[in-house]
Amino acid sequence: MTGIIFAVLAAMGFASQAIFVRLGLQQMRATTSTLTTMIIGAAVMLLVAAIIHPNELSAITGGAILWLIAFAFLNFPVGRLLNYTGVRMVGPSRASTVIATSPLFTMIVAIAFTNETVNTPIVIGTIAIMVGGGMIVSQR
Amino acid sequence: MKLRISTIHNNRTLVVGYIVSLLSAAGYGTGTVIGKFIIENHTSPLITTAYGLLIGTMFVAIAAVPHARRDIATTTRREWLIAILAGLSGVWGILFYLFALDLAPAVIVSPVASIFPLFVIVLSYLFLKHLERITWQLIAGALLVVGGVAAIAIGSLG
Repeated sequence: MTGIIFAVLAAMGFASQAIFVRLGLQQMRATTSTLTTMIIGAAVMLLVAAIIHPNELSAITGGAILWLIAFAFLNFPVGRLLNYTGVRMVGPSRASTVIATSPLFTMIVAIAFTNETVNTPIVIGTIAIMVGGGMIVSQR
Repeated sequence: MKLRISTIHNNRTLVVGYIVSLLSAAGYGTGTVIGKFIIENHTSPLITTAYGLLIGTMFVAIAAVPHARRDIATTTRREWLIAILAGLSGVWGILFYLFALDLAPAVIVSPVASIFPLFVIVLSYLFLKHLERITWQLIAGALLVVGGVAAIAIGSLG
């Protein structure tokens, strides 16, 4: 249950970021505002990590770096920049509705490549969130 | 003839836009599973967030740098403050996302974190004074999202 609470807190963070970007960074290009917010985020996190886990920060292995590159590549240039490109090409409502299907990809990849399993309530809940999220963004 | 060319161009833009959006969803979805793999096998959520943001910044810089100098030169002090707050909110989101992945399966964390459009509506209503129009679609969407989270919570207990 703590994992679900943390996921809700994550959603609040993503929503706050969207609000701040909408509030004051409309004059910037999407790529510039993404870069600016990421530089700030990276600087803060590296500082915090250096204070709390200095040994872990420097002891990162080559193998871990390769996975981190894959993680960063999929989330930022692929996930975020293609998100902005999609919004520019088909509009925010259509793009957001398609992008809301990302949990489905998580489900497919997690079941195919890891030991994760799903049950009926999880499948129904995932579909309900995807459809509900799509309805919320498409009416705005 | 002009109209036909324009229609073909618009249709092509629409198709490419949908494909690009689908690739974005695939990127986010697959990235979640890789994030969980890193946390389980290599390092903590905190270090994953720090390195993930650092490497991600380098990737985004490649696309952003050609225009960034001009944009940044015209950025006001208020916009810088908002950029800092947006950056910190992003850190909050990614950090808790990875903490959640540390504790729960990706098939549970990914859909639950997808409820953020609901929070955007609530925060817009509270702070932006951009009163969202309350439509049946918004109410039905919100009920589906809340019901979905409840279903996943029940499913995670089994």
